[in-house]
Amino acid sequence: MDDQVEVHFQTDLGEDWQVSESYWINTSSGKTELQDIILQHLNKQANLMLLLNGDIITNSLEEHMRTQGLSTEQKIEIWFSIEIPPPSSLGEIQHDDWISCVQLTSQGCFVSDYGGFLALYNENQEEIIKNQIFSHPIKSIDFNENSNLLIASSKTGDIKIYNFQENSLEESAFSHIKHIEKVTSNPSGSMWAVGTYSGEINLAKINEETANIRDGTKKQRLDKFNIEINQLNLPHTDCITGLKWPSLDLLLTSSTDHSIMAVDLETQSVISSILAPRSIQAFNVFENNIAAGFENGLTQLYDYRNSQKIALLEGKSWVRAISMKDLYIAVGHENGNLRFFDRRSVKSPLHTIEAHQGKVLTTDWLNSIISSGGSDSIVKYHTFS
Amino acid sequence: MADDSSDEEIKVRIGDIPLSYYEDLPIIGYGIDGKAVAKVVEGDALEKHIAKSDDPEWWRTLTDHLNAKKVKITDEMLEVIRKIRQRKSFGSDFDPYRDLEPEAKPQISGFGTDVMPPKRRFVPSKWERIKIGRLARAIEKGWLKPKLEKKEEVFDIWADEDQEEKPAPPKWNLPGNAESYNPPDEYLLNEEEAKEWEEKEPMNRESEYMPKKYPNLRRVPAYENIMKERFERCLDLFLAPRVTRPKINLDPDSLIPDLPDPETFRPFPEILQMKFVGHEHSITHMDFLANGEYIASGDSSGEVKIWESQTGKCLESLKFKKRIYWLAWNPIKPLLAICCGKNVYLKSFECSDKVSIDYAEAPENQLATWEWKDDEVKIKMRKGVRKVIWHGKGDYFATLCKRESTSKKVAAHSLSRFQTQKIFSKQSKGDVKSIAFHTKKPLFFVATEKNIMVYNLKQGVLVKKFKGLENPTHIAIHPSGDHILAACEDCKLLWYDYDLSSTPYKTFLYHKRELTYTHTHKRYPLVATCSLDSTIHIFHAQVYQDYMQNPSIIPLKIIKTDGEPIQCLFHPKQPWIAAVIGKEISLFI
Repeated sequence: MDDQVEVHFQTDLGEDWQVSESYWINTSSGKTELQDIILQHLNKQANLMLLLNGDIITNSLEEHMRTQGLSTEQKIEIWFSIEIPPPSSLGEIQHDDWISCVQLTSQGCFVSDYGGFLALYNENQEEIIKNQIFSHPIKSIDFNENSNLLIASSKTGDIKIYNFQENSLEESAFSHIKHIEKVTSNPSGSMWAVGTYSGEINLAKINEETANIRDGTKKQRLDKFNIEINQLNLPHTDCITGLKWPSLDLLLTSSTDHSIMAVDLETQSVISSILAPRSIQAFNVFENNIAAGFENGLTQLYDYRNSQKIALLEGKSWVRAISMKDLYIAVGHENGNLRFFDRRSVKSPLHTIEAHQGKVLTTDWLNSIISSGGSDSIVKYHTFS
Repeated sequence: MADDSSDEEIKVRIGDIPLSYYEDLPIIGYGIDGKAVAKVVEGDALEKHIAKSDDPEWWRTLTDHLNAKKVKITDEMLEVIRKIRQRKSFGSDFDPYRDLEPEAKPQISGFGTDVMPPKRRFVPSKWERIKIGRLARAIEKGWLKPKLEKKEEVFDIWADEDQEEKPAPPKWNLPGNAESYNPPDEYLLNEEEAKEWEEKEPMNRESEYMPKKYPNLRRVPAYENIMKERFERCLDLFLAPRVTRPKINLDPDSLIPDLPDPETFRPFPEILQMKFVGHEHSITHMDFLANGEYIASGDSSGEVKIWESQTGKCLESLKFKKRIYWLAWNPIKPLLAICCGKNVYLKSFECSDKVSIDYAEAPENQLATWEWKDDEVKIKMRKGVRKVIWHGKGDYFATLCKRESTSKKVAAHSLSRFQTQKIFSKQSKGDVKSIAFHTKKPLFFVATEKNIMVYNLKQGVLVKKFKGLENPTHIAIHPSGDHILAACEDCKLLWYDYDLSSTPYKTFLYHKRELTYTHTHKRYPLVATCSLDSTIHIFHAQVYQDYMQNPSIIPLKIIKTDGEPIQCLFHPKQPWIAAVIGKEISLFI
């Protein structure tokens, strides 16, 4: 006769999904049996992900208990959630050059490439806009939905700000800083942070007073605005690889000099700093969590409020891009793989897809759609629904 | 008188064996008839005492052990014994003094006579006692010393010859199971094997002896090869000189230096993470921009590419007519010096910010002519340029033209004055293999086939000469400026200390084939060498400001590459290394 163990099921899915009773379950039961018990109790249909102390249950309960050193005499708690299904392809868009940046917005998907093209595609992957805005590679773009302004920066250091209206982009401001790597806008879309290869971070905003004046007798007619740039004095010494502006007075930066900084923009001072073991090659922020990807394939999760490490995602190939959504993290690698992790169980990826023939250079996540761009000049869309 | 010994028949025939051998046995030996002869039992001390007191004739009784009987001594025998003791003849009719005069004079003892007086009459001499007392006192006080006897010197005829003990001959191997008279069945050869064994030449046989089985040891015949084997053994011992080698009782592990764990020296490059793919012909040289943002590479067909080092994206490509031999970024501004044929091109690229070199009237020069074309500057030399290196301040650069005359091989160029001049009027003979600027001082290093010459650029004189090289392929100056590394064709990396000695401070013979390049990291204490044996070796090389402290050089990692790396360069800021392998640049992290 098999051993039995008392199991209590827990979830954060809501009141409808709560299982109040404890069950005596055979230790030989696997994921299917456990899932059937929960679903039978709840009278629902779903694919569940079951976790035992952060370890996804894939084999029999007995094996997981043995590896974790748990005894049948004690009550164990199994945490369950809706399992993220394997991503399915929604389509792809071919570009002429390496994709440098993708951003999923409610207006569509903005894509920039190394050929200097900026494009907007709707949800059916139909091209709405495609313009060559620079003769040099576009390194970074950021569209702000509040102000409908899009900032794009080229490798040579040109910055252009576009006003997006009725499916068209109108250039409204221009400036130049040397060797721009990353740009980001503040939540209201009124200011931008620009990170350079040399480690400088500049705050940019449109200066309407010093706008260029079109030739003519009437001085009121304005054509393009200038961009006013103020340099932030931060102790970064090397290439800025990540910039995020989660709230109006907080800017998060990462650099290949191994440091991540949280900057209070009111006082222009560093409020917390994290020293990573390697140079940070990919960076993203979700709520209070920071994900930093390194060239050795590892991805470290931090809490920027107390600079504490949360979890380490294993990997072997250079981390090129990270996107985060709720509890899930997508990590794009040099070898073209896109790996999906659950933050509650980071020991192994939930799913791994060979997204690109080459390196994954950028990825973004909106609702249930994830897009990625790579060195194969293709933008790919995947969905989890 | 009859000989008694011949009459006596010895009953016990034990030969010359001592009687003590029979002490523990009840017999005394064996008689002539082969029967054991029992010992004559003598009683213990108590019995002897009783017999002594009971028998008045007891003292006459003797035990003849050889004949195992007791013998009683008669009066005649006693008379004989007595006469022998008195040294008289014991025969009754024998007169020993029959030839002497019957009336001999009585002998007188004392001085002047042949007869010494008896000892009881001896009176010690008073004068002798006094004399001896004197001598004893003199010996006691140390006045009288014994005369040293002169020993006769013995001439050692063999003194000059080596009298080393010859080492013992090596022991024969002990016989195994196969040599047994009753070997296990698995050792025995079947017919085929036996036939094969016999057909083979003796020297080709796996075993010299064919195992055979005998029912018992008695049936084993004499070994037929004993003479042959003994002879061969003696011949071996005679022909092969033996030398005693002192055996050092050392733990081999104790000879290996106790190196710290490489884990403690992270980060250093370990694995291949990225390849820069795009060249159609084999790459000849590459260089990192000073801030590490771009890599420039040139190939044998004359194509130059500019890569974004972070992503591996080729941003610009440029085609020249001839093979690119060398590329070097200016350390201050993004200006690339390219060696192509007889020309050195100074060119900037759009992706890396344009650097304009305004046209100026360059002074006439025999060595080179400066030409402006579009946004590039062309410096035309008289012979093919093989190398170009920049000075740390970015104004001067030096070129190496291998086919030029000896003193004009190395030329220095000034970017601000558009001038070219030979560095020295006299340069050492021999082919110049590599050149380098000192990182801090106005010194210039020229590596020839055997030496590294150090010239002072201000004074224009040779200040130092480093020896011990064998065809160096590349020399690198450590960022501290006090150490010089030379990669040589004889598989060695030589480490010179500028202030210590003209000979190498350390020699590393780790590669199996000739070295192609060596490089030191500007930020991390790392040194790398690459070789045609398809490996890149990474060392931790910590150099101290303190002259008393030696640099610590620890091998960290051997990176195996797909092909033969001809160049390896550290990233200027990150602990990464890029290597030129065929048509690709591999980046190891």
